[in-house]
Amino acid sequence: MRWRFWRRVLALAVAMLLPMVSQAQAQAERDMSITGSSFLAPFIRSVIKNLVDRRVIAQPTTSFGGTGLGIAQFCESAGPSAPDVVAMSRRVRAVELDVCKENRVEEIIEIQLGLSALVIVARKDDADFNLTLAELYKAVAAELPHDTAFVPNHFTAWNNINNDLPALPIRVLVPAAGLGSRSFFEDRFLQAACRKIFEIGTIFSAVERVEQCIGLRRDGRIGEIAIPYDKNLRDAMAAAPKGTVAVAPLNMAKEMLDVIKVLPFDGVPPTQESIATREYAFVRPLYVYVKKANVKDYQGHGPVRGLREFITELTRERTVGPSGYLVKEGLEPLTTQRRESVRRNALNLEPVQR
Amino acid sequence: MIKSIVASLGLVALLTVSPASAQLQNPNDLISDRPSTLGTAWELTKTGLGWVGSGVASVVQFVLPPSPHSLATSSKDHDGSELFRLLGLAGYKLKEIDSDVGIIPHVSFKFAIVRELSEADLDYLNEQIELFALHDSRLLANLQRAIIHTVVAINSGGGMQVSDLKLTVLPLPKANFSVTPSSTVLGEEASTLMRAIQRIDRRMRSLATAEIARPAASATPTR
Repeated sequence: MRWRFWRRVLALAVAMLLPMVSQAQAQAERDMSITGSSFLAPFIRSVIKNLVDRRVIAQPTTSFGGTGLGIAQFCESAGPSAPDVVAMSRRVRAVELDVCKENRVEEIIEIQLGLSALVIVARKDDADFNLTLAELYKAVAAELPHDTAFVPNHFTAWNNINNDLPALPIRVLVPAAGLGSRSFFEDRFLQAACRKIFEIGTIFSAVERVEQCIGLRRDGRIGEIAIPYDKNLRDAMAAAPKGTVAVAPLNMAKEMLDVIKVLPFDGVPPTQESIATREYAFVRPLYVYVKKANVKDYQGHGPVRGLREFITELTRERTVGPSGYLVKEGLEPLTTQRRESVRRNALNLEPVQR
Repeated sequence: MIKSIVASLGLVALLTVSPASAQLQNPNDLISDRPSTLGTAWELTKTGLGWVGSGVASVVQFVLPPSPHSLATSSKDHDGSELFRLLGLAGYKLKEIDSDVGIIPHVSFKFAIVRELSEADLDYLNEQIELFALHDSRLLANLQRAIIHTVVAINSGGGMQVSDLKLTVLPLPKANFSVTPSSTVLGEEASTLMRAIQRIDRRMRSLATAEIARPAASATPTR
């Protein structure tokens, strides 16, 4: 009799405790939060939309304040206050990984999404010309070295720079200040050109050197294109005089081939192959980093819901393959071999080693 | 080395004795051909000594370090080496080559920082290191990358920088990093000098701008 009583009490206690335990577990679990590059934001939003629409994951928290800020927030802590995912328009630096480790963010999974490329375009009916990086720099720089000083740029026609270029006035359209593509242009084009200019290379201070290097001429030969970049660029190029060239993301350029043509740059035409092999140098790699400790294991243990599904989606062929939906949105795919290696490492949750 | 000398002398003796022993079959020939036999023996001895000499010279050359002159003249070849290229991208330039000639030779290359890196420079350098790692995964290349990573890590850590980097090749390879505060307060003399340079720089810029602006229409552009 007494035994029966105690069995009932025990059963009741278990029945009361079980929901409490699962409730506590549910409270400990949370949906993922994503931070990072504003340039990558459209791609990440597409992946999220795809997963949310299929009810695979709940809508995550997102904040795209830039790569530098994103990785700083990501490495701030291993706890729930810091983001679980950071999207970056460059690879994480060894120094940043050290900061992560100091803050107990020990293991990080690296997923290279693909590449993005900026290209030089001209009006469709314009002469074919093959610009080099040095020539483009001479066309756009505010000041150029002359003897021992920097003097205002006074090139007015392309053939002033190189006789093989057309005898047309210089006009260059660039992304407006503040856009991700503008900083890409400054970092990858202007600063790359400056590395080969002795007079700029001798400036010790990075701040002064960059200031000298990325200053664009203000005599009306440079036009800035604001967002929506694709529409504004199309309108500007349609109305532009002959000799105008523009800097455009390759995906946008591909969509306005009725108005413009993509020029080979520095002797290399920007094709999917030349971009994947990095023969075309004006490319930047796009990465996503995930905290391994937050990913649920196959038994469902782990603090953040949806991370594993997110990782899987980021590495699928239908997402990042040559006909994947991110590629249709402008991502340049990696080589097949590289995609396979990225997928294998990501799905095995291999932490990044630098 | 002694072994090679003994072996060479043995060879010389053997070669000298062989024709003589062949001649012994007819002692008259030996006497009548004495000048020729002696001449042959002398030639063979000379050749043997020549071999010994060149062997000793090559051993000495192998042991001794390259001369300061040869290092200096070959330093331009290093421009093509990956370590020198990456150090250039990291903002360092070859300042001097130290070389001691002696029983324990010494060769080292000293690099000095010539420019700070911008964010874009740092990204470019990291990419180049990764590409280098893809193409060359040997131990030496890994060590070279480790040196660059150390320099970059110190310089981007904030507050400190590797002002001088000394890479010793002989007798044992090692790298010395001279780390100094990156924003050292200038002394009074240096500060005065800096201000004077800045003043001259400003004056030069304004003069050059005025000079270019005047005959702007007819000026020949820089090619």
